[in-house]
Amino acid sequence: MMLAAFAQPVFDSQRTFRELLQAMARPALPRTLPIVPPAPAPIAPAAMAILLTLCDSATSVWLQQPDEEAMRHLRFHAGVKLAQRPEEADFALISDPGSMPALDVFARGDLRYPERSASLIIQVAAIQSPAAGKGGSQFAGPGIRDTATLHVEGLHADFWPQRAALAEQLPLGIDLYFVAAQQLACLPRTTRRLEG
Amino acid sequence: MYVAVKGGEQAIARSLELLAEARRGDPALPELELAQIREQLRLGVARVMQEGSLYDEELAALAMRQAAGDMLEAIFLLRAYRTTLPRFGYSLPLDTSSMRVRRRVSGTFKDIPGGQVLGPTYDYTQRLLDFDPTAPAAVTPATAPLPSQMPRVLDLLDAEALIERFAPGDDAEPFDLTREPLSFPADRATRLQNLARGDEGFLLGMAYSTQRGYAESHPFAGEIRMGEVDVLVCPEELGFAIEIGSITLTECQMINQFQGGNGVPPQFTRGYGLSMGEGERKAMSMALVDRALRCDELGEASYAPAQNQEFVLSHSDSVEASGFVQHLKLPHYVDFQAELSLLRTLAAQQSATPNEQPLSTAGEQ
Amino acid sequence: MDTSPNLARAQWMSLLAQSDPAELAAAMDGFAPPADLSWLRPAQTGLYMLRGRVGGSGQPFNFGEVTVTRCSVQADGQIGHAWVRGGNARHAELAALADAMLQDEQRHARIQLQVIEPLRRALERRRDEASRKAAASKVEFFTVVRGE
Repeated sequence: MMLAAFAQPVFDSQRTFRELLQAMARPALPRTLPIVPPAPAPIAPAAMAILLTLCDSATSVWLQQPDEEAMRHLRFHAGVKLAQRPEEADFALISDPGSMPALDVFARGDLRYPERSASLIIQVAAIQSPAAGKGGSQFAGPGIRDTATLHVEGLHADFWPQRAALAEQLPLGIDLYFVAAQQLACLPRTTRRLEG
Repeated sequence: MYVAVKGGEQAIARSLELLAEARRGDPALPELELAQIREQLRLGVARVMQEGSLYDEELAALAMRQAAGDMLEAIFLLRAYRTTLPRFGYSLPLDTSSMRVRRRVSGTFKDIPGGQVLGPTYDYTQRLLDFDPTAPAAVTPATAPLPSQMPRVLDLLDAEALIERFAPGDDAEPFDLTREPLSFPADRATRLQNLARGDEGFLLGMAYSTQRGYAESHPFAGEIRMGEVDVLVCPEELGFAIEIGSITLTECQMINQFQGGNGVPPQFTRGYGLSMGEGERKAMSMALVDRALRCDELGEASYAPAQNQEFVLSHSDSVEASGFVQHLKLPHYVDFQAELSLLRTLAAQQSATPNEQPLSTAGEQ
Repeated sequence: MDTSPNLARAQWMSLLAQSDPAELAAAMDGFAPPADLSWLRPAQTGLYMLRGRVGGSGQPFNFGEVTVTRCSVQADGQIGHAWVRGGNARHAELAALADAMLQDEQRHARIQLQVIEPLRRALERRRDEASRKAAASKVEFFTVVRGE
């Protein structure tokens, strides 16, 4: 048996695109995805919504856990090319962030074409905006007034140091979409995490 | 440069209403149906599809009606619409040798296997306006159909191998102008894609110039064929090829005398034209220009406009051309003011030098 | 396209795509839709880039696009696909449904007999007539002997 994807491909992907745009424009602010389509494991439904919206036959996708059924589903519904290696990916789906490759493995673009870089869709345990003083990390940058607080649960200890190291290479870099259940939060390369 | 100017919103809204009213014409008359346009203006539909670069008779008919018969506007509408559709993939190369032929003529060989078939053509009309068109008599079909396979005349009848042949070679992925911008020098596949989308009037003029001596051209129409060709695609989900329907195509194989050069022996070389629907003039023009643009490859002297690929390929597209010409209508108030004040300054300087005759009176108070 | 099940399927898929949508709808009218039916990929219109060949037989080049409507359906466990030229969603849905039903051994023979064969004959008839009409305009040259 095969699973369906968006019930109304055009309208559903347009509505999702609007949310993704808003989430990238207002980094570190969790939003709720309007539609989550069926998805075979290990792809989470929220991640599938993003893949169906942003990827097509001109996009290569790398799966951290390349399950046969998941690959068939993606090829069928999004028409994507599947990348064999993470450095070839336009989009990478991280379904087990605890064991994900180092961030500097992914494409960061070059100075003439900084947009030729990878976007990572990372399936995490939870994303929340805790109240001040209740934990989480502080973020600043374009699209954030003063600072924003975001807690992402399920990342390994090296994740933030690896991302901080990439920040020196701006405008090169990678962009991050975190998903948990129907929640989404984005960290584009321009968003800085404040230490301490 | 032009600047945004506010304040025209109401006027624009009324202009759009006027346009809609003008397009519809006398409301006492019935509105044109798309099926009428598709069936009775089929050559216009073919041109809009070809230069709009999208084979879809319904959409082309809709564009023609919306553009009130302005073909370039209809082509623009179709080009704009296609950008809203997802690209599923690339077809297998069209096999024009298995075309279900409805017209096929050769200007070089009289007796061709399968015969010369005139089909529907204006060639033998008297070009007299018919003020009283009566219902046409139904054509009585011949007892036997045409052969199901009609090999290309040029491949079939060239026993001496004096006509250039083309082999598929390694089937390299061709450049795609809808994905990457044009750059020079452009290879032949890229040039053909550009010419296929190119304006018929522009290509006709260019082709005519090659015949009048602005290129070393001594052409013959080796074969022109028109008919239906199956479209095959091989979707990844299936892993095998299927037909998705048929389209009408016109193909022109032009042959040109060639004295030899650049390592190529004396022979007839070929120019190629292909057009959607019944588009014979376009296919012939395309073939002549294609041949003229091969001058560098064949080591011919290159001096004529039709041999200059930067000139031809950069100016062939009617959407680009009409956009750039017509953008002059937009407000250029700031540019014009700048030039005006420059001229005033120059004129003032000139009149301050008494022994020089002023060239114009532009700056006088 | 070499193995015979794929060849047979390619042939019926091609025929369904080449058929007149109204004739296809009429032929499918006599069949109850499968009980367990889900549209895996609802009918969607997009583009294929058509490719020609230089000189008709040489290197491929990108010629221009064509509208194509595709559709995939899951019907009683069989997955049916369709790709049809143009923007007719109903044509694609019916072709996908027929493709799924033709893969079902219980239904295959009846669909083949009541849908595929009549459509094939209608298509052949139309093509034959168009070809014979064109053949009516075939030129018959007479050689005129000149001189003494």
